[in-house]
Amino acid sequence: MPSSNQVHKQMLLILEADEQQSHSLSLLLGTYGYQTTRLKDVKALKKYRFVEKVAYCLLVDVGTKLKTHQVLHDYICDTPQLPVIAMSVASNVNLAVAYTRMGTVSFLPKPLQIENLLKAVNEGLKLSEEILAYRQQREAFELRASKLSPRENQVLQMVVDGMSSSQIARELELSVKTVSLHRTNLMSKLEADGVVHLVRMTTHGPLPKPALFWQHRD
Amino acid sequence: MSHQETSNTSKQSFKDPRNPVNDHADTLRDTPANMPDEDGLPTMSPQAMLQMLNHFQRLNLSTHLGLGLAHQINHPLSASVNYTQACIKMLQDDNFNRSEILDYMTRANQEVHRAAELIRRLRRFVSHSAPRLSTMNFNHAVLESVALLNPLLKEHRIDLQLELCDDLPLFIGDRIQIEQVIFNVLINAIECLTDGDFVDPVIVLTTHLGHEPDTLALQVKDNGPGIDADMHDHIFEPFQTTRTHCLGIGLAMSQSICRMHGGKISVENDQEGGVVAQLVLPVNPPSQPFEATNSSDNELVTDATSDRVSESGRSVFS
Repeated sequence: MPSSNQVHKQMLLILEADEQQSHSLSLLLGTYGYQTTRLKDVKALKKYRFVEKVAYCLLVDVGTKLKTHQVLHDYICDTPQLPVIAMSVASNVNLAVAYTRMGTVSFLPKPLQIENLLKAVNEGLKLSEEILAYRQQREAFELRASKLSPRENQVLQMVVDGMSSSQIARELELSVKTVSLHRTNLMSKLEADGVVHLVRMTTHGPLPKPALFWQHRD
Repeated sequence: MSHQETSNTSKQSFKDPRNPVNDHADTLRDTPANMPDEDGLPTMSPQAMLQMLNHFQRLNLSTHLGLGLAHQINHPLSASVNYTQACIKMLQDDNFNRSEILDYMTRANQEVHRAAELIRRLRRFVSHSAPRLSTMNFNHAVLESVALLNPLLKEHRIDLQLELCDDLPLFIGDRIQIEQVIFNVLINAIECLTDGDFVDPVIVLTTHLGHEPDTLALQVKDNGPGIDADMHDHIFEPFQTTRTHCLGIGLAMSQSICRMHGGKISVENDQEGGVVAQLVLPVNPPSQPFEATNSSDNELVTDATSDRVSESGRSVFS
């Protein structure tokens, strides 16, 4: 069941060549309260290259061979912002390892076990939410940072590098008072509570990645 | 029940009293599988060898090329599991209406039938039976082969376009062998399209009347890269293959089957790109190849797959 504290609209994308499987999967997830969109082919995925206001997770049948579809392959590698769950009728270890290393959330053998399916779907949507939050945070920071003057930007970089106001003043050949003024202004423009907060918001961590399962065990 | 009785029953059930053509089948079946040679030791007759090779190739086809039964059977089962799980959930939540449940259960039921049908088709395809003539609708043989290959086509997202002629005359031949030929030709097209990455792989399969009277023709065309120049002259030679997972006897076997039926097969690069395979078969096959022969020429199998067809245009078995 989708979590009640979800921030964004959630949507599961289903990419499945077999009409009956696609239909039945969409219906099954529907009974568990998920919204689904069935995609016709890999090309239809292009629309979902960038996650915006919706938390997406893609369920895709990857066939039985690793080289089934290069486009899909590339898509999974190139689009870390869209969590992917790989499904296959072949419960082949090599295939599972290959897709997991590529960065898929899960590899599910078919026929699907409902518990595993739900777990994978929830993990995928959670990851998508995290990615959305990460992007929003970043975008918000960039919006605030765009209001900084070139001089303030310079000072910001130096503060983050750990220089004191007097060091900065010496470096930029300004008075300590002027540097302090720049500091106060940029802190307020970036809505930072202090230097630590400032450093944290400027150094973004990497994009959230699928959790390894042993870290995820309760 | 003795062995003799068993074979008699199967013979009875095969014969269709309304269809006298099936009487040909007797001459086929009665061909002794093992004939004693000069030393009195049983050696395999050329027909039996060819028959075994045919069977061997069908087995090879079915085990490789992703047609592993376990995989294919999972597709319909997978859909069925999803439908029934949806029903379970709705019933658990006490949130359903009757017609919905009925619809999903019907679909689940159909999917299980689809799985059973796939098993039946595969079993029939790999069955080891003596060649026998029967009258058939050629298009049905096409559709049967296509049904076997459907999962593979879907997996590689290949668009198979069927253009079947409705006015084909009834055809007399060995049904499983004919399906084997169609299957081989289609597999070749699929392999051509899956060697690289093609955005819109298409196979066009057409059946039509042959140019000569009382013949029918099948054409399979793909939009792949075509056959390599150095491979081109050897495609009908056995064990010539660019692939690691097959024997390379598909086209050789297909050619020998076509000749047995008095027809011919050609595989060429198309001018528009891709490969075009053309199969022309007479509606009534020559009777000789299906009759017992006293020949003990053990080279016959090789003969059948090489170009040494007799001048008279009759089959290699005459």
